[in-house]
Amino acid sequence: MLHELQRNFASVALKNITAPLLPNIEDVAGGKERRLGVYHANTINSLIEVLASAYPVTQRIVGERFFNALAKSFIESNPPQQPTLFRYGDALGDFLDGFAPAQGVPYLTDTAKLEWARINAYFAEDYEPLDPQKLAEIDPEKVGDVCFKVAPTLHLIESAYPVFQIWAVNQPNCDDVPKIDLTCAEQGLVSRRANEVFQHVVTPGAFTWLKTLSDGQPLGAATNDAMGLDRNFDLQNTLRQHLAGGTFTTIHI
Amino acid sequence: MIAPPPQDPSASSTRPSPIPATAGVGLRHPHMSAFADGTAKAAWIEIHSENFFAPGGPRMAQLDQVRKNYPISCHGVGLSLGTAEGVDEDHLKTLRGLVDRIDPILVSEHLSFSVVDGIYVNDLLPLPYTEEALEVVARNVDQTQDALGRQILMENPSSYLTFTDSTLSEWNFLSALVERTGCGLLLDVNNIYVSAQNNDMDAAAYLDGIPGDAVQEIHLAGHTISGADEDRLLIDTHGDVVSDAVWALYEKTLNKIGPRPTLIEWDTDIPELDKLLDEAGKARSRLDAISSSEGSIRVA
Repeated sequence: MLHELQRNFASVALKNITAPLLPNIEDVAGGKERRLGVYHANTINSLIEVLASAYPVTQRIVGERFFNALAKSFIESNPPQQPTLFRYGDALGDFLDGFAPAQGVPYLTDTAKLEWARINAYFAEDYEPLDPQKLAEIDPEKVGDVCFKVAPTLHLIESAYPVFQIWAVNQPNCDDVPKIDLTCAEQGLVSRRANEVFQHVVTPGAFTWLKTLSDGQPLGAATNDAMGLDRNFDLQNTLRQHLAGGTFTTIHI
Repeated sequence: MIAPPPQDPSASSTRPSPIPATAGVGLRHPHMSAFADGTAKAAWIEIHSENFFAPGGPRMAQLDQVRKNYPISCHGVGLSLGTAEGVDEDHLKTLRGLVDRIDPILVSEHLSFSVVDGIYVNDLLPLPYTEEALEVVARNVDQTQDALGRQILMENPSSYLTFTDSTLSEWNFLSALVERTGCGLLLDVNNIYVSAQNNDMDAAAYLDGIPGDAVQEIHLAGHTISGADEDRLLIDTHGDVVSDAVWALYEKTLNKIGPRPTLIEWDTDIPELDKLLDEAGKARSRLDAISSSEGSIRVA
């Protein structure tokens, strides 16, 4: 009996469906619906706030009113499945992909995915960056067989749109907005070093190299993939940058 | 079963709380750095447990810093101890991890439900006060206290309605819960006031009805008034100063049960830290007044 009542109350809170619960509620001045409406408003408004604080750039691009409407629609079809609300909203990017009213902003999905990657990087577990000395100790003959474990904070982002630029010009402190070529694709990464979340674009060769490495493939295969795409791919330089940037945590053969 | 902490038999009222009856504030994001560096003048602070369920990152690092400077109480909003299907074991495990990490002075949760069929409704929904609900909550509280290896406090909700199903008053429900599980109570005086106004509940009878010795913490917060006449409804927003009527009910509560650690909650329209600490100061002066009058009675 309690379970059924709770189910009906959840329908009130998330969908404002009041009829099944009404018989369980005492009559009251001003009407029961008004009372139930408080729970619905509390639930939806607080979840919209959660999404707005996770997706400030997405919100800024579409405006507050549009964002509230899309958030409401998202909440109805994707209610939270756990109370740890800093993890709520991971599916918003994919949701936007199929959200007809947002189709006029084709880069919205990828922008949202970049924002979510930043949240994930922020809350991910702490890690020790790979000590470059460990790599130097490997027999030079076998370096091509080395596999890298990437940092738990690392996210690779690939878009047909310049999402990193779009993100940057939509920061509150950015008042010098350059013209962006929306046809320019971007690839890059998001990660966290100590307490600082950072992001930057990488060359197509470096992106492929990172993707192959993060799939668990060895350095030789990753470098072949990168060279296949970009004959000027500079392994030494790229490796040095990512060792310094804390992209990797451990190696094994 | 959790053994009650030892009590000083000479005390005029029982004070089972492990912290002195001082005023604290809820830790909210905009004030984080003042607590991490220890400059905020607060006797103790309370966190929303679920905000610190991350495995690492800056927020957890800041919490470790805050912990060095202040005693912390863990106040959960998502365990959903009123859920008929039972408690989520993963959630309980993560909470245990947090409790082990920061060794809080108090651990509390709500008399409400927010999880149904695996969906989390981000609100503290009220329970009908029935025997069935009492059994559900008691079972969930037992399981939580067993998993944490310590007593938890249960907070009374604010409410905008009552159920035709209810057979017990809220205070009788809480009394029975304390008796069955050995849990303590977190008495939210603003919630008593809000529910009393909205649902024609008798706040004085409430204070008479709850077991005062079980109360180990008090919450105070601001509410807003929506509508007029028969549409008048008090909304528990935690977004303003504590109202005069709630301060009056707080004084009555202290007179009745004695001084208790008291927390100011402010969750929406969060003010400057000074304003929040001012509210805590108002609670502290009332606690000091009641403590000194109790002292003089003892001397006499």
